[in-house]
Amino acid sequence: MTTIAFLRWVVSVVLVSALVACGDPGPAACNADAGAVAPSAAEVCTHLRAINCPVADCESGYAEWQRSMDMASFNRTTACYRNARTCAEVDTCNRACSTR
Amino acid sequence: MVPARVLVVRSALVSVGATIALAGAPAHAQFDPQEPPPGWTSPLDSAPPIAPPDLGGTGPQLPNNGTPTLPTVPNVPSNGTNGLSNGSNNLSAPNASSVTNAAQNGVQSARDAASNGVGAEDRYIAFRVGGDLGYARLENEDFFAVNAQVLFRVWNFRFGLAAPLRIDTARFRLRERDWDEGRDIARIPQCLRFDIGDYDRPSDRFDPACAAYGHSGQQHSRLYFSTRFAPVDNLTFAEGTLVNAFRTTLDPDHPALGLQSHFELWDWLKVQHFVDDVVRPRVTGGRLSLWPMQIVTGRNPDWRWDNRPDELELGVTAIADLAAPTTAQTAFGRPIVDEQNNLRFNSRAIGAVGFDLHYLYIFGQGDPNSAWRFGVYGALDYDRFLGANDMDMVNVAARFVAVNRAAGWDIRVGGDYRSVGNRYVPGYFDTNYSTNSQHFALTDDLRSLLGSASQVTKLGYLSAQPDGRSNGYRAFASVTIPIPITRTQHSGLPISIFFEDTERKADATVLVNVGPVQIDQLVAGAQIVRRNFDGPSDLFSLDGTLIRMFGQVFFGPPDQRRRGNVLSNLYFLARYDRRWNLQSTGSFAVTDDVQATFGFSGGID
Repeated sequence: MTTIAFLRWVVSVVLVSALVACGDPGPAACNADAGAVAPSAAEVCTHLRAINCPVADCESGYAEWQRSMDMASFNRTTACYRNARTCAEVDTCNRACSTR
Repeated sequence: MVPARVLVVRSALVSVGATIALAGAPAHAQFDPQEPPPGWTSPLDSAPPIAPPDLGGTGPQLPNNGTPTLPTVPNVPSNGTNGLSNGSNNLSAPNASSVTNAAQNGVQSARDAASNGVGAEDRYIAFRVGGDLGYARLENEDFFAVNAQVLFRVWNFRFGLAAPLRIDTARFRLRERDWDEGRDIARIPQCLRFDIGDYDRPSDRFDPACAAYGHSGQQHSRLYFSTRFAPVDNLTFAEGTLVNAFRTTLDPDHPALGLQSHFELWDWLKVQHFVDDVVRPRVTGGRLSLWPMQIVTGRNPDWRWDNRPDELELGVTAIADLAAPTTAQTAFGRPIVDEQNNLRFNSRAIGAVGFDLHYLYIFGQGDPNSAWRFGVYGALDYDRFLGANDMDMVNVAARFVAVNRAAGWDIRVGGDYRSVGNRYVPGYFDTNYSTNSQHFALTDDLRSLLGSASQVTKLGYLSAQPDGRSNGYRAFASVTIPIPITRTQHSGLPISIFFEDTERKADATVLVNVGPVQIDQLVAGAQIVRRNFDGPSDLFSLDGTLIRMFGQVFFGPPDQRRRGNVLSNLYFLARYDRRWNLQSTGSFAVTDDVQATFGFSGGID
């Protein structure tokens, strides 16, 4: 492969990578058991801050969700929050734990 | 045997090499500075605080004879051969932004000619310091505003730096959010630039607009390259169907230093490129424009830009958002922010390409019996995102153009028809993009349409739309009104408006530009943009409206600056900016920011 051909290949790869969608990340996974017990609002909110995922008015949000969701989904989701290590994993909990 | 075209290209490369080799010499050999005309106004020497607004992404750029569109300054060198086209600004695509840039460049050219005087072009370095002091209101808080500025130039490298400080009027403390994280260093570089080739020598003044320079010489012999580090502001490609008044600095707490480059090769082609943020690049793109008639016929004088009553332009645009937000990350249904108060998103790369064709014909060229000249202009644009169905748009534009250059009138009226895919928004990368890509529902109409899904991102919203297309239109009008300054000179007040809509809900846009206008010691301008509302009946509302206004008044005549009149270096500057900023709650709120300062600058230039 000549230098020019190699450079052309590199440029093509870069452009294609930049312009083409990266694709779906795959199905999200819930990291909480079906029988999980919901941690307290303080525990969840402290954990979210600790992993640099602050949520505005976290305690109020916890209470609102508790009222609006079925108990099993709420328990799984908040337990999942507690086990999350990144903000993306927190968000994954929303989609993966509350729909089963 | 070497083909003729190869020889031409070689000749071009030799020319480039010669230009570079002459780097130690003044880079603007073709420019012939002239004495300032009496009363010539140059308040933009300290530059408006915002880039001149574009004219709405539409409207052909009429060849302008080397005379600045704004204002008209009769004394500026005019090298056009046909009375219509010197090509100075013609290589800017026939679009409204280019018109404005052209006007600005023309202003700069004229200003430079006026302010530098004979002999100043020999200076290898320049240096200037200055500052503003006054009041600022930002996000409903009051501040003392102190802004120190330094500008220096060495050969073709020029650096404009600033240290904008805001001090709380109540506690007399520095506004922490201005300087509490790494990205705030982007507040310091105002315009770091390198220019080489043929361009009108700029005066070494503060220039936050940081646009590519214009050229009063002939386009068919112009070689020019420019690269500039500055906030990307008001960037439009072609008709603005894909990139329209793009701006990356909407949020005062999230400054971004972008990069823009510009290359012109004769009347053959132009290349533009930009990156929205050099520290954390997300949106990057470029456009290649070709003038095939000039390329195909070589450099035959009869086909030179200067000698043609018409122009045909072909353009290709490519742009990518390397991390377009798809869904907001949430907990308890509320958005998550990170330590630097950025919203957290799931994202993916998206890319789009655009193809455009433009044709302009001017009637009555060379007619000595009429000062008015009329033209017709048509354009065809097609833009498409890769890997997505119905994320595309076809746009057909028609314009009527009338100019009376002697009197200073410039009128453009027209309309566009477009077929818009359900997953596309006209001017996808628009003024709001840095905000609405994260949170699409910025207006009441969109919030009521989306209901509980109002946290959705722009890409998330569009991706969820069903297959299909809708019809759309755009109505455009602009006029430049001549304003007499003296018996022989006039300035121009450009006013433009466009309104666009589709059959879809909450898809209307209105954009109004007034100015920038320069009248003696005053420069002023305004821009109003409102997107995503429901049709003409909902036209007049502040909901979701972005507004920018500025005005600058010098205390002494600008032409006396070089004669030691201190008042000519003193000015009053006021600006108003209605925009969005991200709250700690993870939602965007409107902020009405005001600044009013007195300033002074002095130095060697």
